Amino acid sequence: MIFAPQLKIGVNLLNANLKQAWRDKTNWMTAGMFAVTALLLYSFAFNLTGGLVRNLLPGVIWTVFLFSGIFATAQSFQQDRQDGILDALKISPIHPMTIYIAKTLANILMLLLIEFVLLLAATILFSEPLFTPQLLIIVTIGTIGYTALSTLLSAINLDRNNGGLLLPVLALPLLVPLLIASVEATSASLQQETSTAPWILLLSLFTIWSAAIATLMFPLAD
Amino acid sequence: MILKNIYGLRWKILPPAAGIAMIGMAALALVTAPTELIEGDVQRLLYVHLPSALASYFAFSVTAVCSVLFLLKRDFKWDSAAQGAALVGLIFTLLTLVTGSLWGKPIWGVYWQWDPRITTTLVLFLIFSAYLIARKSTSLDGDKLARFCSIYAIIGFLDIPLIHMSVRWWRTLHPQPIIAKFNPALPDEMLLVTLFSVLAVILVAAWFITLGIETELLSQRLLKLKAITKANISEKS
Amino acid sequence: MQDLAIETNCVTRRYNGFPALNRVSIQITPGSRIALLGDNGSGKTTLLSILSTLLQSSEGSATILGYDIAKKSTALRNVIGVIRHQPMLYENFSPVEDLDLFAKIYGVSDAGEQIRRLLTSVGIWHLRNEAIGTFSRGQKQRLMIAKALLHKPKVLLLDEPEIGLDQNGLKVLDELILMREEESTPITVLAATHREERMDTWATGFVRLERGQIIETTLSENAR
Repeated sequence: MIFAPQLKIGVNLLNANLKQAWRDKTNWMTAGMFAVTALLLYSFAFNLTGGLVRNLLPGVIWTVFLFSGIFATAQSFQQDRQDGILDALKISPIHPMTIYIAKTLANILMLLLIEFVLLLAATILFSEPLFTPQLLIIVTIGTIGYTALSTLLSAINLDRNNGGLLLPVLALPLLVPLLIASVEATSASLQQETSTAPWILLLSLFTIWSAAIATLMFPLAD
Repeated sequence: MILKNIYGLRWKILPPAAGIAMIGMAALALVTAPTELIEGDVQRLLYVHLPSALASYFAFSVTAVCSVLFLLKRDFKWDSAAQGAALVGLIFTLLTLVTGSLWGKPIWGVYWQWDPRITTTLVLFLIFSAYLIARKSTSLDGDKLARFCSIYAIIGFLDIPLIHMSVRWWRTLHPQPIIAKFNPALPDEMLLVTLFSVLAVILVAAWFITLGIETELLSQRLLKLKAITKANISEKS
Repeated sequence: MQDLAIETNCVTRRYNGFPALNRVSIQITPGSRIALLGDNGSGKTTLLSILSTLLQSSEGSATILGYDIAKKSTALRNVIGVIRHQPMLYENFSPVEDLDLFAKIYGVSDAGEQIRRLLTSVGIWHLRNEAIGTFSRGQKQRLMIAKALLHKPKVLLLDEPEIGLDQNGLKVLDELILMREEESTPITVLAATHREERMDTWATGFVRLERGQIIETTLSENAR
């Protein structure tokens, strides 16, 4: 695989994916709506109006990210598969890794957008300072980590008969380290009592592992 | 190949070896091993609990290795082997969790402790349950399904150290009062019984794995024969 | 001896043990236009899918213009053009956007001119900025023809290319592919079709499959 031409092709495909995501907004808007709705539900369920917000908010935020993110990425290959585009790409000189990376990057960008909206909502609802640079870094690294895995898993159309629940069932147990690391890092960042460094380290470790393994495994899934 | 010859002898070696070992283990665990001072006879569950955990890791290692071999050689025998081993692994994982709970309740008053090892075992259980559920998915042809599940098994297996590490860090941050440790320092007699139990259970696990593999292979053959029969019937009509 | 355009050697493909293709061996010389015939389920699509590198054979090997299918090299990808049953188009894009992306992927020089030429030849230039999702089946099929020819492939693998095409559409298909007179390099065509009555107008030979095996062919004696 020659790197430079694939890079150019990859960028073109990324733009195409983003263009497609923008034109077919329903999938992503639904994910965004789900995220905000879930946040509201958690607010009632855990009585987040009280003083315990700081303790519970990181967990709430990350579970919402994971659920809405996984559902959104599950659909991401679906349209391509239905349109036959996936076949067209497989026939072309584009390397499978490039197909995967372009799709994953597009998903990451769209999910960061949704997460941004959610953080905005949470900031307003709970008056918590969620837009610190450190927290945004944590959110970005974590998003790359879970999107890499869930995009890989969604590449195979396993779920025709299961109503869309199979992908979360497959992906979530694998993401336990990411969830733990993200929540603890976010919590430490908000409370500013304990150091965030070890958790960011673990999170980055998992994200690198997840991205590497997903990129390597994608061509095998063909 | 040596491995093939050993595998060929499996029905002759494994069942009797496993059987004798289990009888020996039962005798040792129930009778010979001394009763623990603090916990009493319930502690004897250790002789099932610890070996089951090891057996499950053994079985899932087999699954991971067979998955890699399948992806390399694309021979479906390896895929069937991975599946058979996964089921056995799942059974022993469940056994580990259940014996852990049964042991925990009379001793500590709780069914569950968020100990890193047992929590990781639970996540392991979820991962390979998901693996087996995905295996039964009918929306794909066998080829792609096998490839996907092999990839999933490998990722799941490689994830275990990370899961263990993260749960352990998490627990140091949110410690629960440790009421009692699993595996306090064992006196020599208990250690010997434990080691023998490990051997016995691994033999049983190996036997079950070969049973699981054979079942999967037969199941695949049945599917093939059904497909051929169906084709022949439609040909004649 | 020059490279055969398409050569398969005992290609077999099994689904759950049952062979959809059974030891199919064919040799097609460059410039030939071979019709692939057979009832539904005879293995035509399977064979074309394998040759398009979308499916792996269970046994056997195949080469296109000397390139081994199994290696899936970039060189191989650049010389094949494919039309499948299902259109392979971005429903949300316009023809120009779709072809532009794939022109970049294939590294087509003077893409803009090529796209304009092809879209005009297939007769949908006036729809060039409309969303493909609004097209009729026939219009999509014409676009597929344009897309398949975009990177100037030397071997065309077509699965029932006549689907959805009206009289004019069939004319386009014939002019551009089936009955094309190529000046420089010969184009080889392997097209699965149910329209046997049209075969005499364009095909230089045929292969008939039944239940995954060749039962009749005009190819050389090497075909089995």
